[in-house]
Amino acid sequence: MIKLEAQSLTKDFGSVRALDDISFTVAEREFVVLVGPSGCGKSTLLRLIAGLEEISNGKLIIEGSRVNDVPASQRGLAMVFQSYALYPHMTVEENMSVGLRIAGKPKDEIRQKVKTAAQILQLDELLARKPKQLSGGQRQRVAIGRAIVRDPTVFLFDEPLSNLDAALRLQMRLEIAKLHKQLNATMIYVTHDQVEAMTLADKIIVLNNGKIEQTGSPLELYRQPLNRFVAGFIGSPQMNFLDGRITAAGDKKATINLDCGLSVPLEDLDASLAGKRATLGIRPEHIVILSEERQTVAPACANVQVVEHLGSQTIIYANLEDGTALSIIDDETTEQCPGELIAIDVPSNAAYLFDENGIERLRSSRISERKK
Amino acid sequence: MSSRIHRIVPYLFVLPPLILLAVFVYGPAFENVIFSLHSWSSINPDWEFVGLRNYRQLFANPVFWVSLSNNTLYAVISVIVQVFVALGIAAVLSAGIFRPRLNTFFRTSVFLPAILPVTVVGLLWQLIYQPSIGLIDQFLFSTGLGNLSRVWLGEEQTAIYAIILVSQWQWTGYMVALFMVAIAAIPTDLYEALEMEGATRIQQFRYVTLPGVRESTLIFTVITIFGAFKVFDIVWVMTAGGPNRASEVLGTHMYRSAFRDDVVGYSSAVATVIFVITICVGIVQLMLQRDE
Repeated sequence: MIKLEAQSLTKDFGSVRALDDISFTVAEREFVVLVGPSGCGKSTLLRLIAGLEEISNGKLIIEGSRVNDVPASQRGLAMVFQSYALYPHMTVEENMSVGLRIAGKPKDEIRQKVKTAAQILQLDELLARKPKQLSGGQRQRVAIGRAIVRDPTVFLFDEPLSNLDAALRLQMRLEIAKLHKQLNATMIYVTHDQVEAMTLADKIIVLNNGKIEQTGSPLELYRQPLNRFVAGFIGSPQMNFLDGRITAAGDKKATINLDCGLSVPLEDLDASLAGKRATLGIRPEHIVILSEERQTVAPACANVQVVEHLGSQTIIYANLEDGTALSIIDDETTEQCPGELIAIDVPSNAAYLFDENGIERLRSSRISERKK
Repeated sequence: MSSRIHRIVPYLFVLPPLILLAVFVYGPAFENVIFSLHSWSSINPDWEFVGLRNYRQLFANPVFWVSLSNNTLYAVISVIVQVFVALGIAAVLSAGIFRPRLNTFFRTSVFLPAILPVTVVGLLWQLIYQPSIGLIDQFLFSTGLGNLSRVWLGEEQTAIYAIILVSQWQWTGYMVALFMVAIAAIPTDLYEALEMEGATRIQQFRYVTLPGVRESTLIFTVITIFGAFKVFDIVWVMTAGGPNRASEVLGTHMYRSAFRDDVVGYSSAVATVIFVITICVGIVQLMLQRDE
């Protein structure tokens, strides 16, 4: 069942168009993540949904009815703010119950709801404390508790973890994922962190410059990015992009000659692409470092700049001869050193191809298609 | 050696203002208490120690009690208008109810009186209060309310109120501006979270604005009370404490005693009373702040 639907939403601030033609649906119990770089409009979109900003054009539908002109409080939504928005002079219990008190709910009901929410979030012991006596993670939980108490149709989260340190962020991420299951809740979550998006979402909506770049499940976006932006945004370290010219196309000998000197054979390219410039995309984990015995036929050399040993894998940052920066994930525990030259190969079955402007994907990686 | 320097350096930085304060503030305040225990005149080099006689005279003087009650009235009305009414105006102007241009107009017009010199304001309002030809009487007569007309500054019952009104007119806008700064410092998230909970503007004021400006309100209240007990200029310009000393305040009483009647010891006793009152207000403020 569709809980929430956006139909061609736009938002203008004066002459600036912050959001343009945004359409998507949120199904019941779905966890939808709006992700994109700073200033892409994701928070604005959440505020439009919440009713904190007016919709300039388009339709917003919640549970079948148009809510463009319905005030924020009557849309049945609850929002968790980035800053937590806790009232410093109120205790945890008062903070969680403020909405119910405003609504004039009976005291017993309020107490019961707060108690239940506090148990879910393990806040029982902290109900009498004031926000300043809580840690960042606890404050975050109180803010979520305030949302739970309202029993909303859809939960809205606005970058809820960005004020927490890395360890706590991971922990809260897991808690939010658990909460989603436990409450059977529908959630819309805004973040700029693609790892959060990948780990939490059933569906990711990638936004850039006020437009939706792509909508899909985390693995769909990872394996089948529609354009260079999504390819670069999803995945860490990000996909490598190598510019070049398609020398032959149409037959089995289609090839792209990269500016770094490497030639990569690509099958099944449209014949019209011959002679055009294009960008080849290859994920760091797919680049192959050639061992010494195979280096005699080395297709390309890269100069190692930085090596990060993460234990289970090693990330190598290297520069190609033409200066293009490259990141490589190496599962082997080979011990490359900065300054060393390594021979690399770009396996054609893992390569994506984008047009010169990065707007259109010309070819998907064969590996991802097999997995699909 | 270096650690000793580290210990001393902070004190060296604090020393110059401390010396200035000691010479020009704490010293005179202390000296003033000694003055108040003597009977002396500015043209007579002989001082006579009289103990608490000046204070006994002071407390027996009905003018002192009139002054004290006028100051208290000044303080109460000023706190109501310059703190609470000003907070209300600031909340309305901050809430974005009016269009931006109208907002700027209101803000500027309430603030404007604060930039005028007190003497100018005093003379201006003397004209406004002028019997028959003043703005107020003109208004009353033209609207058929002429029987309400009075000699506003010339009657014992109305003089102090007329002056207090002028102070409110002059300083409320200034306090509005200060409150607007305090309100602007409250995170907008807090309002939006309540908006999503369905709170009315009044509830938003109660749950967010009021607690958010609590500290500022406390400080502004104390500053206003200080101001009310130290007031001198506007009273001196408008009525000089008259008629029949009905609008006398501690400031004018002290000034008249020292520089008109030349009973400097007595005047110092008045100064000491003002000092003690303001210290008490300050202590109350510190206690309330510590509660927080």
